[in-house]
Amino acid sequence: MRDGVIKKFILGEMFKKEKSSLQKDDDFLDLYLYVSREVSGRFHSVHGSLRALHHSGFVFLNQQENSLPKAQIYVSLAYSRQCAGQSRGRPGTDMPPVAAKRPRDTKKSSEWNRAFLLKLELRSHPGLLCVIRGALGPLMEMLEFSEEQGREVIRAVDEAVANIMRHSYNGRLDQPIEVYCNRLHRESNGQSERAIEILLFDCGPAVDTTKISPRPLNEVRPGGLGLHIIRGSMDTVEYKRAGRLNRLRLVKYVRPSTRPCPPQEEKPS
Amino acid sequence: MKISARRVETTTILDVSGNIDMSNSTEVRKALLHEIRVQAVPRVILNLSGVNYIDSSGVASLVEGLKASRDLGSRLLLFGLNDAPRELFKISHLLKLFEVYDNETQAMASPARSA
Repeated sequence: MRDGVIKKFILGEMFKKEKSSLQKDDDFLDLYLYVSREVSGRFHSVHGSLRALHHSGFVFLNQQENSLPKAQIYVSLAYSRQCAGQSRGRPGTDMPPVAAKRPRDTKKSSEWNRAFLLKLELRSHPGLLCVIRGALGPLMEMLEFSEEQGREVIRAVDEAVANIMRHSYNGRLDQPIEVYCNRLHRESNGQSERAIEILLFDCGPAVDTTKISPRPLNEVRPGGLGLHIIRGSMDTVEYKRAGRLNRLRLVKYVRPSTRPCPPQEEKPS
Repeated sequence: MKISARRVETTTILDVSGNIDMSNSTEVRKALLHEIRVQAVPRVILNLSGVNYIDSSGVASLVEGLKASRDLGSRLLLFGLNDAPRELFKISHLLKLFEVYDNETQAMASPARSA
């Protein structure tokens, strides 16, 4: 296994084991955050930087460090918020792991090195959207995205998660969503190319891709902009049904100049 | 997110602060439609200078307000768009749909009734 590459199935099992040990009877565990050591160091205090969490009434519950193969470390942070109502689900019920047993879905590109940065497990509650935005902000900064590019990524992920909540789960508040953030890196023709890859998983019914399309922008009517915003903000947007899961893969390259160029047309001789 | 209303002669200014997303965009929609439909104010100005993030559901609420104001012959104006909201308006092609001003003075100087 190359440095910087984490076997996701190992992570999945570790996450699963850890979650059960964190379970408390009187807490409703809404959110798990897993970060690599690389991210943790740059965040200074990861949970401290996530002001949105505290503003949303989350209480920091636990922090654990675990070793990964090749001496990598990840830090897991668990947050809880007291169950506020029936719609939030049954207290003490653990969130089922969404992607722990997912197939190896990431592209086996021989060129790109992929490194785990951060994973968020959350429920389909719109109040958690601000937490996702709050977590991605420092991450974009760390990856040296420009402010504008960082905002594009945050906007796309926010819209994608909102779409899952609205369409995949029909507004149900207690369904699981997982967001993985990976750093992509490769050397090509002596140039370094970097990108962020974001994978979103949910357990909703399969999406009929033939029935979804962004609405024409010249229509003056509310709604239907989410997909347009996602596509307009990211370099790659791919949907795939992976077993019983919906998987949305978003990629953004750090600099426009590093984006892969489309094949050039042959000039007529 | 917080919304407060100010009345200046025949104009209502809605000051919004915080982030507008799926969790609270209905509040913006309600406040807008209340001023436009119930209060029948001829001109509603939305102060977004305190908003750093708005998502598509927030934009949808504004579009709904715009449609209602057009139907009733009133006006909906915006001012104080920060970077993220402005970018969203731009990629959604909404900058040319709304009357957007830099500040409150400019917005107040615009006509009270649509032509």
